[in-house]
Amino acid sequence: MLFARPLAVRATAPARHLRNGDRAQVDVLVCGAQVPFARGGAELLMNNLVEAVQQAGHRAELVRLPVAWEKDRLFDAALAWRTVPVDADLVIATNFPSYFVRHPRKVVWLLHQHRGAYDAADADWSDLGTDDRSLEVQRLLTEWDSVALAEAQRIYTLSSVVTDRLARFNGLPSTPLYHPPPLHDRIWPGPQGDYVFCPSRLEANKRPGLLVDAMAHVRPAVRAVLAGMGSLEPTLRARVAGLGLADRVDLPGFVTDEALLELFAGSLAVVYAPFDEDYGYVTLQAFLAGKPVVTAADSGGVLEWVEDGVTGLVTDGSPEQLGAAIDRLAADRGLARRLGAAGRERVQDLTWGPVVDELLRP
Amino acid sequence: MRRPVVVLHVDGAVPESVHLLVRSLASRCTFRSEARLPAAALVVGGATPAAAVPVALWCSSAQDATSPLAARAVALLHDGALDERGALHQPAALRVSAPVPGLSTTPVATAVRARLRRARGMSEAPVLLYEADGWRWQGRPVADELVPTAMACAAAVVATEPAQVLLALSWGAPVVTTAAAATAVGATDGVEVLVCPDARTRRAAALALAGDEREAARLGRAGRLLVERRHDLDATLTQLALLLRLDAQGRPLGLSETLLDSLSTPRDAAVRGRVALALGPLRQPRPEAPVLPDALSATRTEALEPAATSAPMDPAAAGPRAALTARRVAKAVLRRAVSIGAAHLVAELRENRAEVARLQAEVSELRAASAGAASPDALAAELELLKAEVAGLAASLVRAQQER
Repeated sequence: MLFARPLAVRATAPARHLRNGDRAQVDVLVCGAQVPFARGGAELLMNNLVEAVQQAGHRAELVRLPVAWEKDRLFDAALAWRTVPVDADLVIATNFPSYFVRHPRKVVWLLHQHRGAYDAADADWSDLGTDDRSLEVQRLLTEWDSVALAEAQRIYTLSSVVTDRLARFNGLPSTPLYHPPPLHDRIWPGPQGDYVFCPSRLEANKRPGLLVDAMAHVRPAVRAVLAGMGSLEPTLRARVAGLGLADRVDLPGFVTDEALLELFAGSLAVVYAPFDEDYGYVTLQAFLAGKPVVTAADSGGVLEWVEDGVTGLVTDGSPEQLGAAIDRLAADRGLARRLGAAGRERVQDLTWGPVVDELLRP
Repeated sequence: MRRPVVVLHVDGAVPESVHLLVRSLASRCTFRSEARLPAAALVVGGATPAAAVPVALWCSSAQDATSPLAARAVALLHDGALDERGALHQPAALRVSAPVPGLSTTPVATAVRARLRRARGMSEAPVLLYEADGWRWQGRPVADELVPTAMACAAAVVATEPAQVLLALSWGAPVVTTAAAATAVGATDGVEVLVCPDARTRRAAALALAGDEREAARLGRAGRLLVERRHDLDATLTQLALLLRLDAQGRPLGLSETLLDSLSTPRDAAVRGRVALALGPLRQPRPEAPVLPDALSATRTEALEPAATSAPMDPAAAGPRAALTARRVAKAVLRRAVSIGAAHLVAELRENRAEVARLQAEVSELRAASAGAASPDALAAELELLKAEVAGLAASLVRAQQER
């Protein structure tokens, strides 16, 4: 039964409602899953959200509980969240299973569910096969997610890709709420260089190998810089050597924020063609640097921003087409400049203020 | 453990829904028309209980929900007078409706249906349709025992009778129906169901739904919610028992119950109540390995759609599967037989003769267990309610005479 549950009540003193400009101060707990010993985009986003709420004059803390993704332990952390006492005026739950938290003012800003039970159920890495046990875990998790998410006062999502998934798999409506990428206030547009840039974790879902293969089809005057670390690094280095591209494809590994900003600013274009990305900070960062983005038609959230011939070039994802798109921008630098400027225009108003206002709206 | 005492405050005639509620709740508490230190109070009218006593207030009209007593009540009970209230409201508004037998407790979301059909090699977007001679799956008649399987696997359902509509909604299926049936189950066109005026348009709408996963998922979810909010008396009772702090019982708590036991938690410990409150809305996985609902077993789906190719099964389960299936079929028939009367049982079980003797014994047990209204607890509770009702009526008569 979804209605009329008694809910957690605030055990501590209520908000002091001090005036801060024209807003009352609100105590906010941001809730998220923790993957011990790992750090990625989700953690960055949660920290940035806490910081943004604090900068808006409120008190904010991050609450995280470890999560396990295997089907035998999938429900454990969800159960734990049900009984975590969260004494605050408002809780913002972000990802699975933190939205199982109970609070009279629960707002969900959904980064992702357990994708292995949804759109990626048939992916290699999902342990939810088509045996009876897996199907029952999938059935029950879908029901639980629907119950816990529907408890929220409002459901926002990271992007329209996540909103679409929620509609298809759980039948729940939600609203995309877009936020600026990390380093958004430090990225600057620089002069066009002679290389295409791709900052990415070197993992299968990001498909960094596409850029390496594409470079075999690109005119020799253009180089590529593929920055980042990951399990595919040895494979990619071997591939670069095998294709005879060692002098044109650079894999610098980890780069500092300063180096990243320089690389964005000096590039001709950014190539980013992951598989079905939820959001894709790289796209937004490229636009802020005034660079067009070359992507693939199945790159998911990237396509919310990259419009073919307007802010970038959308290909079929084949190395040949990606290579041709890079060549086209190298040959027509005016086009690259126009597309990059249009991208910058599209994202330059993206700031945290409206995001915080919307999440904290009464 | 001593059963908690719930005091009844009645002033005047008591609606039939209150009788149903008291009868049904009688297994969890003892009702008294007077009590010095009650655990809770059920107020249909009359005196105001002491401040420390949790109150469930019966609301015959929306106005009743605005009284001072309503403000301190933990639950507002009604049979249609109040709007459904969302999760964030306190007090809770609980609707008391007559129980509907046979509804599913294991809804299957649209996307899970689709994956299961793919896994079993079934048709891509089958519509389950009710025609004059019964249910049809892809044009073929559906045997009675396979109706739940069809409900759980269909991409869309066309149903024209309220009972059929409720059954399909309880499985989480997107439903196309008539205006009359929608009204009868409290559904709204475009919200929980789609309404079409004739068989041809209903069929066309169902086919369209089967190809529209977003709309199907939305309707399936909303329909299931309707069943939980308006037609699940058991869930209402569990919720009310928790709100009135009558016990920590209700739906079995599965994993968490096992966890609490492992910590030597007493049966009446307050922490059990808190855990039940937190987990009540979530159906718990069983402590043993999760089991797919019977309706979705490979044997059932193969029987529903003979062309379907079964997914690889767990080899360990392959041996005794046939016997297991016969037993499950027999049990499903048994459950239905109990709901319609045991006289039909032997005929229905002719395919399972070996099971008959044992199952007949189970029938007797189940009949005794399911004869709710005849149980001593329920009778005692009814008696108390009647006493309170008579006393309330007498008091109002006296008042009326005095006013004259």
